[in-house]
Formats: sequence, C-alpha cells, structure tokens
Amino acid sequence: MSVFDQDTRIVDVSTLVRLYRGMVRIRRAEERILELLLQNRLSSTMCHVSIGQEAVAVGVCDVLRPEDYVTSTHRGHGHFLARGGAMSALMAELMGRETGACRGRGSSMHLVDASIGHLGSNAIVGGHIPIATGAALWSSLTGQSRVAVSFFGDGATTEGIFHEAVNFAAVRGLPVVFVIENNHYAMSLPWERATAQPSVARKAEGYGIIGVDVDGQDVLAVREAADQAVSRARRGEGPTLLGVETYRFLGHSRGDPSTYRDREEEQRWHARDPLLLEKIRLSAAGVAGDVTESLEREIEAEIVAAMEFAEAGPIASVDEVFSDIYATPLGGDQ
Amino acid sequence: MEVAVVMPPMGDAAGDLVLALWHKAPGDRVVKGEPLFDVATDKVDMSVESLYTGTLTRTVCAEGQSAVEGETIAYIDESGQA
Amino acid sequence: MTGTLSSARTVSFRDALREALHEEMEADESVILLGEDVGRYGGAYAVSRGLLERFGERRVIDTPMSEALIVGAALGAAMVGARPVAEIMYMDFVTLAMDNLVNQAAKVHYMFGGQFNAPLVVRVQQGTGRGAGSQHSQSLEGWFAHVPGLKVVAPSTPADAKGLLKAAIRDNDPVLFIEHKGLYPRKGAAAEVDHVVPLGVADVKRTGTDVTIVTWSNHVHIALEAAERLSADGVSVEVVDMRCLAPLDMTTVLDSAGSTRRVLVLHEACRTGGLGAEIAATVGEQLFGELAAPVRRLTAPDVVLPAHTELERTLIPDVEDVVLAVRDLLSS
Repeated sequence: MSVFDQDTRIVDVSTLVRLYRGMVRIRRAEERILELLLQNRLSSTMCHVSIGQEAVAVGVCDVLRPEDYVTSTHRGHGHFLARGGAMSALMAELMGRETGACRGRGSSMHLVDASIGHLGSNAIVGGHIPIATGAALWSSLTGQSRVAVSFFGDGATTEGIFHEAVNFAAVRGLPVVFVIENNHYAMSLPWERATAQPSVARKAEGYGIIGVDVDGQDVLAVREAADQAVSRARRGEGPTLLGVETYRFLGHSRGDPSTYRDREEEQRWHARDPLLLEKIRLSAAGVAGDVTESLEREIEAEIVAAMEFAEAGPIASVDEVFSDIYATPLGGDQ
Repeated sequence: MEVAVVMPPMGDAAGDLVLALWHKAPGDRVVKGEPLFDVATDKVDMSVESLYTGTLTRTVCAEGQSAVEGETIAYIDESGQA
Repeated sequence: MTGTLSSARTVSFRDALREALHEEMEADESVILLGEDVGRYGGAYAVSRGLLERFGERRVIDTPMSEALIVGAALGAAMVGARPVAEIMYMDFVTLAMDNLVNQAAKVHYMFGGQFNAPLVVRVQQGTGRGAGSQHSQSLEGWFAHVPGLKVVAPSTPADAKGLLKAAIRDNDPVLFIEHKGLYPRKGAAAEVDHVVPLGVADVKRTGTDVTIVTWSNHVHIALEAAERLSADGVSVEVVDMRCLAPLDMTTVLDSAGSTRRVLVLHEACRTGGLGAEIAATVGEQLFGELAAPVRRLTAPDVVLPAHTELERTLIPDVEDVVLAVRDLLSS
C-alpha cells in the first residue's frame, strides 16, 4: 500500500521512539476520555475517538514546523495532541472548564489552539477544508513559507466543498496538504459504496496535482509521505492529496455498535494496530522494553495531571455565555 | 416600411443608458449586423449592431442623451430591400 | 459618524463602494478582494473596476465559480491575518456558501473561546426591479440577521454605502454587506476620505411627526418619495433607515415610534419570517399601550418572484402602496 520502500527509510531511533510516544499519548488519552464518557463526566454528549488512526495525526504533525497551520475534524483529539495541544487544555475542555481549549464551549468537536496554528476542529464534514485553503492562500500571498494541513475523513471527499477547495488550491499552487484520513466508513457507508475511484492518487490526477496512497497504519510511511508533501508545499510546488488508509477500531461514536462492519475485517485491521507495528519496529531497532514502559508511565502521569488540572478549573460560567458572540459587540440587544 | 430602433436593456444593474455615438447618420445605408450605435452606462460601454438592413431615416435620440430601455431612438426604412 | 459629506460632489452608489474599497486597500495591506470576476472584469457590477490595475493580482483575486470556497477561504485567510472582502454575485448564490457563512464564519469567535476573529466582509447584490427572475432577485437578509455572530448591513445611499463598507472592512466580525441591484447607478452626496459610518446605528432620513416608516436599502427611497407626496396632504412622515440589520438599532426605532405612535415597517423581502416581523413585534412589545394603531407591515407577498418585469413590479411595494398604507394607518 505504501509507495515507499520500507528498506530505504532511514530514521534514527529517537524518531521511532518519538512517533511511538505520540501515538501512545493519543491512545491512552482517548481510552481515558471513553471512561469519562461512561462515567458521565464530560460536559457534552458528543465524543468521537480516533483509536486505530493515531499514526495519521502523529506521522503528519511530526514533519510540521511551529508556524504551520492545521485544521481538523470532529474526530480530532489526536490531531490536537499530535500538533502540540496541551493534554490539560483537552481534558479541561471535555470536562467543560473555563480553562479548556475553548473556554469549555467547544468540547470534543471544536478543539483549537491559536498559539500552535491549530485553526480548529470542525463538526461540519468538510467545513474546514476551505479554511485551511484560505490560510494557505494568505501564506502564499504574503510570501510566507507556512504550510496548511487539513485533516478530514473519507466522507468529506464526497462533499462539494472538497472539490471546490482542492481545485482552487491546485489552480493557484497553494501550500496546503489535504490529508484524507480514510477509515473506510463514512459513519456506516463503506468507501467502495461512496466512490467509484477509491485511489486518492488517481483522484488527484483529475485536479492536476500529486496524490499519494499511503498505509495509514505505518507511522513511518505516513511521516515519509507527509514530509514529501509538506516539503513540496513549502517549496511553492503546490498542494498534495494524501490518501491515508486507516481504520477506526471502535464505532463512529460510543453509541455505534458498528453492525455494518464485518468482524473478520475488523480483526484484520486490529492485527495492524499502528502502535503494535511501531512497537515491533522499536524492538527490532533494539529499543529495550523499559523505554516503552517508562514512556507509558510518563503519559499516565501527564493524563492524571491533566485531569487534576481540569477538575480544579472553574466550570464554564453561565455569566459568560453571552460573551464573545462578537469580537466587536455593537450594543443593541446583544 | 419603417421600423423603430429601440434602446436595448443592458443587464440587471445598469444605470442611465446614454447614447454615446451614432455610427450612421440619417440618410446612410445600414446593413443588418453592422455597428449602429454605442451605449454607455456607468458599468459598461457596448456597441450595438443593427437588426435591420435599409436606410437610417432619422434619429430621435441625440449623442449624449439617455433613453430608457425599449424607447425608440431611431427609424430605419426597410423598403426596397431584398 | 466621522468625516464629512461633500455637498459639491455627487457620486453613484457603485462609485462610492469603489472609493471605500480603494481607500481601505490603500490604508491596509491586509485588505484583499476575492470573488468571481472581481479582477479583470472589474466586478459583475463594476464595483471593483480598476482595482486590479491599481493593486495587482496579489490583492485582487479572480476565483473559479466556487461560492463555498470563496467564503470559506476568505474566512481561513481572515483567521490568520487578512481582511478579505469577498464578492458573491447574487444573494441567491450565497445559499451555496451557507455552511461557510452560517456554521463557520459566524461561529469562529465564540466557539473557539475568542481565540480567533473572523474579520471578513461578504459583499452581495440582491433585489428586484430588473426582472432577474426567481433565482437572481431574492431578498434574504432576514435569514442572516437570524444568525448570532453575523453582522448584516444594507445601505441606501452612496455616502452610507461608503461609510458602512469602510466600517465593515475595519470590523473584526464577519459582515454580510448587501447592495441592492437598483441602487448601483443612484447618485447622492459624496463622502470624503475617512467617512466611516458605525455599524449598528440607524439613521433618520426624514423627520416627521405623524407616522414612522421603518425600512432599509432601496425601499428607503420609495419611503422618502411617498413621504414627499404625503406631505402635500399635510401628513408628516418620519423615515428611519435601519442601514444595519444585525444588530438592529431598536433604540432609534422605538424613539421614533414613541413620538409618532404609528409605525409602518416596509421591506422588499417576502412577509413570513421577514425582518419586518421582528421589528413589528419588538415595537409592539415595548410600546403596546402608547401606540395609536397596531404596527403595520408592507412587504412583498410570500411568492416566488417571476422573471417577467411587469409581474415582478406588481409584487413589490411601490410609492403608491406606501401612500395608501400610511393613509390607512392614519385612519385606524
């Protein structure tokens, strides 16, 4: 599935550990978030986890620079953390605290952090693709070398805005990377029933730009493809469609038993758990088990501290519920 | 037979329709398809071709004057034309 | 209001808009234009004519026919430092960019806890009068005034158009700027540089004592004409030009209504769910006991607009309709 020969990839061990750590951090955070959901400790009923898809967020964000931009989806905890979002801001947001990423107003689907160029997770499928495109437009117009990355699912590729944004980015050669996080189901609809052209690389040909189909369970393959796409964008060589094939191990949301999926298919993908594959690679590279155990402990400590931070924070106040509807309020009844 | 030439509509947001220029003078022969007059609006300037072949008998809208769409601005005598 | 009106110079609504764009682009490098035909063509209504030549392709951007992209990309650019002015050729086409305006631009500041602003202007042209048909004539301002987070502006005069567009460009929130297609050639007193009209402030275009007409955009002129005719009969009409439809300056409306005690709300949009209902309801709630008559609405009926100019004309309130409605209001 990867266009890259595994043997040609040369990365140092510290990179392997960093990528593995990034994925474990997302996995453990989301496992904890599911617990909080079941305990009814989240402020909102909406919550979508990306367990099984961690390699996409981690592989792509690993090659970004601090000044780059990211837009993300309703399934965006992983993108937020991988981009450098604070675990404490994530937990506080999910628990409805004033100290959360969006002051407790956005919850799971609207994570954001301006300080790291995270332009927001979006709950409209495809709604943020033109936002990343517009950020890339401004980067291009002002001669900056900032690259914008838009993460979205396979479902977004069948929305009209996907076509409008990719076409515009292509014709203007904008520095944007469209990452199609293809988990093969748009809620219940399988990819092959949503498109007659399952190859993202082939779709890209129609727009006159480069497209790549990548194994999304292999974090190194994702990183390599993202590195090339981001570098092209930074050099002014235009956008890339990055089709990253992955799988969500759980339902669309907690209330989805995934009855539309074949259990054998699920087992096949579970066998290619991105954390598992990377752990095997670490082991082959001679990284000792105590390294992975120690990073698990660090992450657990980070999550516990983040939960404590969240619980210590003030609950988003009804007194503030009318603030920030406008950046510049104009009186009247507002 | 004499036919009326009218000021044409010029889109849905034009202002005054000013007759900027006559390409023909009364008495001139006019062939269908050749430029007859220019219209200037505050949005666009357009040349308008004759829809008739014949003789321009008289103009009733002078250069620099405006007319509303559909208003007669000239007459062409088509008699004697094949 | 700052700046001055020049009594010596008149200018068309279209040219006033261009002056505003030109001046704001001169003053602020982050102001860019984007939309269909805004560059080489000069704008479908010639509003941006000459701006490509003056400011170049970096700041005047011809886009493909992609309304959702135009508004969405304007938003993305706005979030990272630009002050984009997007042009959508007809209000009807804004329906193609509904997500970008309603779910995205309107929500960015609040939903993200104030971390981002969305300082973009979306200029649209709307309205009847030219037989543009069912899909090129709708007045949809009420939909957008209904969405918290958006500001909606609909000027009636060249000076207001200039001053309000300048204010909209400088504002840090998304502004839908509505230009009536019948207004472009209309001339009026020119506004000088730095004539900025604050958003959210209505303007009394004519003072009177018997009846208040509340209206906006092209219908301000119809109201003023009707007021002139009624004055010959000794009826004194006050005309309130809302200018900004979100937020609504109800203070000015209530002040006027409180003094005349009779209110006619006039608009070109169809009746049900139109902004006239909101204004009438608020006046009723606030001044019920003080009014001499129930608040009246005069609007287009709930109809799909035909392209036939004569049919269209019969559906839109004209000067005669306003005169009759005012007389009726006075006799009740």
